[in-house]
Amino acid sequence: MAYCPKCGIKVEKDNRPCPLCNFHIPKVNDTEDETVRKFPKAANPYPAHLRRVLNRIFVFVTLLVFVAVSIMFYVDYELNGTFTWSRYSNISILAGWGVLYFSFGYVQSYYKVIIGIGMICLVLLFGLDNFNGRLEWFFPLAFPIVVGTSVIGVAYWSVIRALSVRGFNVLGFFFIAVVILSMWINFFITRYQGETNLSNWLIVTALQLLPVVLIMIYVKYGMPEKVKQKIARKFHL
Amino acid sequence: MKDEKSWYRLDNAGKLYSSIISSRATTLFRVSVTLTKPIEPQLLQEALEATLERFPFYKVQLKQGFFWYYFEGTNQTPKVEEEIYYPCMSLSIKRRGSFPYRILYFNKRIAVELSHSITDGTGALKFLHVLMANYLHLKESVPLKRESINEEQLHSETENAFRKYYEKDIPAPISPVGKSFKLPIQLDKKGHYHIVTGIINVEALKKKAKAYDVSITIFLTAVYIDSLLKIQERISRRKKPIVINVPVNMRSFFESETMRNFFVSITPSIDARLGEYEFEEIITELKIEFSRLLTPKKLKQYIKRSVISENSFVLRLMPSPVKDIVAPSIYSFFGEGQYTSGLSNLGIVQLPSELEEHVERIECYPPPSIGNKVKAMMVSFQQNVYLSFGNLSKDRLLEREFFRNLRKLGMEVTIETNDEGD
Repeated sequence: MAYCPKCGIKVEKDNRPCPLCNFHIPKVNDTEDETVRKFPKAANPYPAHLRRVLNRIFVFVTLLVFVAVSIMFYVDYELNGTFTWSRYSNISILAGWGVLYFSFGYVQSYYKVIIGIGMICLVLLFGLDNFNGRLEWFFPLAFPIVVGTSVIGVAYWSVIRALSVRGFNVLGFFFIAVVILSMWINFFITRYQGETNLSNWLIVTALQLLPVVLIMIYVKYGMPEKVKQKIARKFHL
Repeated sequence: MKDEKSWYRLDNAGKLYSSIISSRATTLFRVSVTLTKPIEPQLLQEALEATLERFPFYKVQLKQGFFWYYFEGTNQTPKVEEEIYYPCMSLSIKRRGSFPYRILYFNKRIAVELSHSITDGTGALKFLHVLMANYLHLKESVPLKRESINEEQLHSETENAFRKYYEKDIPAPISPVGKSFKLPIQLDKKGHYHIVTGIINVEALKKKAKAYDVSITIFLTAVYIDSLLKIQERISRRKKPIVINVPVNMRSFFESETMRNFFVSITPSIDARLGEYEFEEIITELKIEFSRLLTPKKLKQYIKRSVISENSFVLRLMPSPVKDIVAPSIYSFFGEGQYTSGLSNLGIVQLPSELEEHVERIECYPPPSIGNKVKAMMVSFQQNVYLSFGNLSKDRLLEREFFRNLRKLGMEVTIETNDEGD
């Protein structure tokens, strides 16, 4: 029998961490006794169960999408002799299905998810703009906004991954990302509307960052450890 | 059960437990026996079938009625399984074809995991006892008194004893609704359940308890509360009362043979806001509290409380899917929300000598619960007390403090866990 020097309790096996305090219990038994396991190496069926349920939902939705798209093409063709309005609804439904595919965890890497959803948006918007015969707003508006959103999304995720302490920082950087994104979107909208003074709004938006950054700095350096832990406890996800 | 259409109402506690079942709070608790030789599954299966002849009302499945869940008799037979999951986890008893319990074997151990909706610890131990006797009869030819069950026994073993001893005019006990101290620990993944078992010599424990002139239950409850007080002292600035939920087996106070639930919970507490408590002070308070509450008169009040809650018309007329939605939050607010943790003592298990020679030990594990992430349950067998903590979190704050505390009081403790080698 071995003892944990910190807890004082007896344990059956030595040369491993104490089950209560993780202190490494030194080797005391000379003989390498082959004790039988008291418990199996436990399996956890929940992740597999969840996957099965998600798969079932996804297959069901896929069938539904397939039926809906076929019906709409058919009805449109019967009525008009060519594809007219059904192109708009069907590209939207297919885009929705694509987003569902990415959000159901079939693609593991978040980078791929962000880029994938970005591509779907581009295709969708290109289609919606192009179906009436010519491109109007795709290149001046949709393209830069979607690409910008994807780039900021990828950048945000990289920053979050690089952080040593998550928690509040995730929220803080999220605000920063939203403000930068607003500036980006705002720039292209105002340019499209023919506004001349482009930098005016940018400065106003950039100023929004100031309180966020100040709060983040305070939380990092000024807030007492006890309050931080309390917040971490109350708001943990 | 010959008659396929037989069905049983759930008892008061069972009704509540059936509505709060979730993938974490499975309401399953375990009683297990470790024999001296490895288990033979085929014989265990035969033993189980013989046991179910003795307890035909356990050959049932949980079904959802319009207003309440109920147990429906079935011709299917549960199969014994090799243990592969965490204890008390990964069995959804509401699924079609599932039984409200399962029989597991692993090496030399037979484990019975039962949902609290079907029975309590005493019923579970009785079931385990008969199962073990049947198994040892087949395996080691231990002589067996084959009991056949008659109509009268069937009735007395399936009665709702709460109803039997319910008296309308007795007022329910007044319990202060207040906040209690909660351990700041986080849930582990779904499907994980961490057990820490402490093995303590019963004689040494008895001697120590006797020195304080109290029973083992009171002594260990005092150590439990003392540990929680010390943890609260360390980690939290604002003090709250420590409230422990101690189930009381009502069969020792009221005559009943029931194999359903028949227990009430008393809640001894120490209010940390009143100042620092010495261990002796905790013992004194608990001693008074236990002797004050554990009288048939007072306990009838607790029976009243468990019956009135299900007597209310609003609750009875509420469709059971709605109950499923409402019950967990009500339970975590009025039930477990008021306790810091729970400590349950199944008492001493005594076996006839012809069985006892084949048995190494008997253990029990508490059901996982989200309101009280750590709970403890104990049972005494031969010269040892087996006290098991069940924990939905990886954090062993309370276990560590409790067993270190016992060590400081001079007890030898041997620790085992289900996380070995992980």
